[in-house]
Amino acid sequence: MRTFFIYLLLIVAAYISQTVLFPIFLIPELRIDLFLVLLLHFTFSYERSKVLVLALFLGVLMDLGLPLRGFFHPLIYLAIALLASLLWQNLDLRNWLYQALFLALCTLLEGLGIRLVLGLQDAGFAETRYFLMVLAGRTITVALVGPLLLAGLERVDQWLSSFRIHQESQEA
Amino acid sequence: MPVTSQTRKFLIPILIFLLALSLISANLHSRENMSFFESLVVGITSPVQKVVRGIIGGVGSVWRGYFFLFGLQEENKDLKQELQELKFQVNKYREADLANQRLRALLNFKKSIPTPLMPAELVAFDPSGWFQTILIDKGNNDGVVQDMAVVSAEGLVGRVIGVSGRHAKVLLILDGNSAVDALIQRTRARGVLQGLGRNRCLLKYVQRNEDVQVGDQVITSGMGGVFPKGILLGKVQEVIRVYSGLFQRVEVEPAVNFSRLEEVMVVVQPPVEDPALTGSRKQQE
Repeated sequence: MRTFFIYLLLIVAAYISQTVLFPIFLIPELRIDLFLVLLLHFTFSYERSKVLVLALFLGVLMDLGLPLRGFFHPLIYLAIALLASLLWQNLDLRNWLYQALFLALCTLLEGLGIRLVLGLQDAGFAETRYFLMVLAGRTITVALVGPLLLAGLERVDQWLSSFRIHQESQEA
Repeated sequence: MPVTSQTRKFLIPILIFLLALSLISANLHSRENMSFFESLVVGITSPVQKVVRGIIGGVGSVWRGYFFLFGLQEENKDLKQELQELKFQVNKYREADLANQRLRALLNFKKSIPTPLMPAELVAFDPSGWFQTILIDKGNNDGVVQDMAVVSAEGLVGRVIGVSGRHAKVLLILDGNSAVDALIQRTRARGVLQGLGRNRCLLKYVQRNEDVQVGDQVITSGMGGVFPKGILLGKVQEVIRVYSGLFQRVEVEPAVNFSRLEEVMVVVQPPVEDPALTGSRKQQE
């Protein structure tokens, strides 16, 4: 239960960062998708079904700002979660270099996915040049910062498990 | 028959995808109002978002109040000069207003009733950063409905695209999906203002032979019934006339500083229904 609340708190903190803090303090090129980092962390730690449910939830949260009809982010997150769960054991995604590359790839996929769906809907979007500039900026930023955030989340997991063991030993 | 772990492995992702698809289809039909889930999430997170914004605002005002005093003397001098200019402008506009009133009376026009405005606070921005939308703290319960215009003291902010009980989602004029029928104030040249996704807009479909100059003010034309006429949109920043083509490229800098947006006002007057749009919407349904 404690783990659940801690992760819920992390999701809420990520959501507030993305909706309130990032738009004020960060230029668009430096904004990274914290939900993507959280999703990858969950993929490494939990079974696939739970991660897919979480991907759906995070996607719906992300879609709150969407000006169009659609369900883009849940689909994109589901695809990323599936890809990560299939790859992480083969590619050793616990290695920070692989993490950086994979996060960068996911950011590219996310951006291009949204762009593609909007293009298919004939909806308006940012100018291509500006879009590519922001996407490149975000990809580089996530590759640099993402592994550090994942390491932080790993620490939270360690802390939670040590706390659990401590509690169980006390009960025993 | 007992379900094996192998079957379960495939069954769970399939069930989740089916759930996703059903949510997609439900979402396609009810996008005008926020869904129950969206309203719930917004309801839960918005107080926290407001508190965080409040803290940031407080810190910001301390910063502005104490640390930015260094340039105060210079700023004071500039402001005095600006005040003189503005006084001159106000006198000019007062004269113009009086002349306008006389002419309207002569032409037997009804004097337009001032549009009622409802103040609202900005709660959050789009979480993905790919779209230019904001969430405000007024919704259905306060009388806000779809397609109402949202303005600030500086000019047009956008229009309402989704409403829940206590919140509304606003599409900013910066977004690529936003299109506002506009006029160049000086020459009355027409165009459609579309967002470019960054802090710039493009005035499209301005004919090549129209006189448009850098610095010209762009205002709403009132066509379409969503935005009241005469609201400031921005000023022309760049005009490019290519050798071929019917139109010129006019880039506009929005009048509103969206990065410093805190309070907005919703134009409570309900938008006029466009029969053509209503027809197509009914057909789609």
